[in-house]
Amino acid sequence: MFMHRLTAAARSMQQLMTALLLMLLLSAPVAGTADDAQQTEYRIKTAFLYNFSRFVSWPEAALQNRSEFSLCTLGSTPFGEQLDTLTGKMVHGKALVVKRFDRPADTLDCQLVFIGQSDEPDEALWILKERPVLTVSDAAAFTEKGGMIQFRVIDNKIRFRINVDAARAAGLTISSKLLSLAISVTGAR
Amino acid sequence: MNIRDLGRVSIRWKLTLLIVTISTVSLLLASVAFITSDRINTQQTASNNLATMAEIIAANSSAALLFGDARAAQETLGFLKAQQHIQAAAIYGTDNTVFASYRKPGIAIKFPESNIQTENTLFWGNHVELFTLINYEGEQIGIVYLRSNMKAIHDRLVWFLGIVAAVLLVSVLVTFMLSTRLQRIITDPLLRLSAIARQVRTEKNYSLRVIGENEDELGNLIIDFNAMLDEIQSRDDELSEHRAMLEERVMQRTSELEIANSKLAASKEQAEAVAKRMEYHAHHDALTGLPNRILLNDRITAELAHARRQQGKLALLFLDLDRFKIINDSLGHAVGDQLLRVIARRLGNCVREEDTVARLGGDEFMVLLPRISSSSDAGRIARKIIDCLVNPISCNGHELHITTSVGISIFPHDGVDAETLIKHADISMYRAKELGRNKAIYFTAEMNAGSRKQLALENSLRLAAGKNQLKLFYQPKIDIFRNTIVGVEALLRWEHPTMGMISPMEFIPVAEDSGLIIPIGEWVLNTAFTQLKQWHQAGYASLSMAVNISSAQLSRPGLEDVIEKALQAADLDARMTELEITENVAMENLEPAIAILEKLKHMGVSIAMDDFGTGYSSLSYLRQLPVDVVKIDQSFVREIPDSHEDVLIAQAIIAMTQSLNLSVVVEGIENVKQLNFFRQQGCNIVQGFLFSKPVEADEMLKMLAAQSAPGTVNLVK
Repeated sequence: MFMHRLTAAARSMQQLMTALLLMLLLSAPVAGTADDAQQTEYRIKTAFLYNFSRFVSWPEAALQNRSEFSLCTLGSTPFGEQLDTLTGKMVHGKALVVKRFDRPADTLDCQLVFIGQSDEPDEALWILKERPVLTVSDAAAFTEKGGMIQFRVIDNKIRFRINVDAARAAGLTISSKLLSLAISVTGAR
Repeated sequence: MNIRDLGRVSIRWKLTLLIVTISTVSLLLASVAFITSDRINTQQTASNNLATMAEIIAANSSAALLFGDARAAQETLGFLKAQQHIQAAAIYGTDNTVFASYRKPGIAIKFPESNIQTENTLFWGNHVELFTLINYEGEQIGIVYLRSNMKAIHDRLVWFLGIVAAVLLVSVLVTFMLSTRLQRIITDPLLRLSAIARQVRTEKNYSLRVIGENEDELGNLIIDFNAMLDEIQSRDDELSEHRAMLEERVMQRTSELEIANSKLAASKEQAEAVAKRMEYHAHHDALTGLPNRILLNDRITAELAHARRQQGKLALLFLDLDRFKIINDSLGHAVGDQLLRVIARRLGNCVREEDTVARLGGDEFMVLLPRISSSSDAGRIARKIIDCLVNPISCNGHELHITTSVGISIFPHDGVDAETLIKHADISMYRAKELGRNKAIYFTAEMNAGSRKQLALENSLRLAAGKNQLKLFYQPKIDIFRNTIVGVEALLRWEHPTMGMISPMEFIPVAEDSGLIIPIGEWVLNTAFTQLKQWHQAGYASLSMAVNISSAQLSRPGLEDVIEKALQAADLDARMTELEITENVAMENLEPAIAILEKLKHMGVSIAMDDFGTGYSSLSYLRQLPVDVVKIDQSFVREIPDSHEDVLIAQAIIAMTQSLNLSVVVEGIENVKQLNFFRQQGCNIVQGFLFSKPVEADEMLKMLAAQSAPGTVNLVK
């Protein structure tokens, strides 16, 4: 519905953006110099973060009184300013904003938190446990520890694992379409 | 075989061919319609099936597209393997490159690279292509492409064509066999008839007959054919007989022709007589038989021409009977008409042979005196005319004394053309009336200045109001169902000391021309309203007052103020007053007239259309004007119920007023027959001599008093 309220310019801008992201995602394997490679990887992961938010539904109470959808990072992440390209996109009828935090307690009001690699994820996961916050991270064994989505790079392609139990305990529903794309799904389906 | 060759083929084969052709054509048409409709349906179904598959693929592949997972996208195409007719399928990304694809084994085709931006279905010769957009949350993220073969559809078509061909073949055979038998029903009797007809022609034997047992048209044909042979046989015999009679018949006809010729001559004479009579009527007055204005004008023209040639003189005498109107009004039209006939005869007797007496209408006559030797001859004849009328005339037991006023004009002294001479004779006649009637007066030049008659009237009119010569008379309006006086109409009268009662028809135009109408009109309004107030105070509070308004009053702005002032002065409720306008008054200046009448109506004054039916009676005008009441003119009432035409007109006016929701007042009711007629038409308000002529105010008060005394007076005399 909200799509109709967007101006034509904003709509074409959004389409262009998606096209650009997809193009990068499809045509450019993670290659080149280490820096270039990392930049490309996180450009694709930026698109993934946005798409995750579209295939996950939050409980109504979690979004009801909010004017915006907060996509947060915790600690230092390699995204740099890439994430800001998502600002203003619409997710579940809310405008997306990007917030960067260092203290796990600050992320309680976010809807999606990317937990940086340098941080110790355990504290954040303990704080966010069973709260309607989608947790994503590059960290190894993230899903085993109670995180919801963990990025993996396999054959130069970015894939992900999902812990569906953790999500369900938090009141989040992950679309079966997303589940079918995951390389592994933990928990009873 | 072409159409021309068909002419030689036997009727048997023609019928067979006809039946077979018609049945084959109709079967063919039905088959074509069936196959076409089936083809359309099948294509529709195929395209719907493809669309459904594409929708499924689009729904299942959206996540794969968004996350760039080509393998997962490929899996969504997997179920197509089970669909035999799908040759290929592909999922395109937004950059229009193939993201995932499927090909049926053994099929080598290229995926389209252009023309994939839109959603559509393309039917090719042997395959169908379909493009469907993949949307996620309203955003287009890719396109599904499906290609299917048309084999199933083609197979179905071939199967149907086979069946149609087989059915056609069988039906042609069956039709042929049936028709060769059935056509005999028609052709056998025809062939029999044809054989006998030929035999009759070749042998000239009229005693042959056709045997037939049918009872349809063919049976009738055979019966008629036999009857015809009977007839021919008997005609043959009669023919010789007739020939003998013919000679005699020719003789007889010749004599009849002569008789008819003589009859024709007689009817021609008759037609000439009718034409003569019609010409006479066109030139003579119906009542008196005197020449009318037309014939008089012809004679004046002829005599003027003669007088000019001979340098002679002629005179015109303009006659107007004195006080004729009084006789007419008091004794009735029948007496008036009889009187006019007697006077016409006397006038004819007292002039010379060569003079012309003509009736101009009403009580006006004109005498043409050609070839007079001097002006005094005219005076002498005028004197003689006046003397001719001295003896009283007895009519219906009345001894009537009638006199006339005569105006004289002389050619060439008083004018050189007919028009001027008539006008001058008219003016001098009027002068004779002014000077006391029963006189003959020569025209003099001084009379001419600005039409003496008008000037005289105008001058007298100026004095009239001051000298109390103007008077209002009142005629009651009666409700015939309740038998009460519901209102009065105020009528202006001018009693001239020498000219007697002058009718408003004469002096109102003069008053309008001179502007005197404005003060006179105001005087009428004030007098009538004050009078009504007096009657109200005397106890007749439901009485209403109608006053006539002339065009000059209506065309001047401020009439509504004058009326309001008069109402205030008399302390009168506007709803008790009514203004009567004539159609022509309203028509002269329609827009302002409507505005003034609307204002008056708003004040509460009721508006009546007077003399309805005599002017430009137009329904559309009647609709535009804010009229409440229509008064049916007495000219329609006079001949009712004897004149069929007038009855129809009155009924039409009444019907029209009913449809416009207007009330009707009938004027000029003079007898009970007229009253009964309008009573039957449902008109309740009437006016006329049957109840009362216009009377003065105190007389009116007596009538009001008489009707309020219970049970004493029946208004209908």
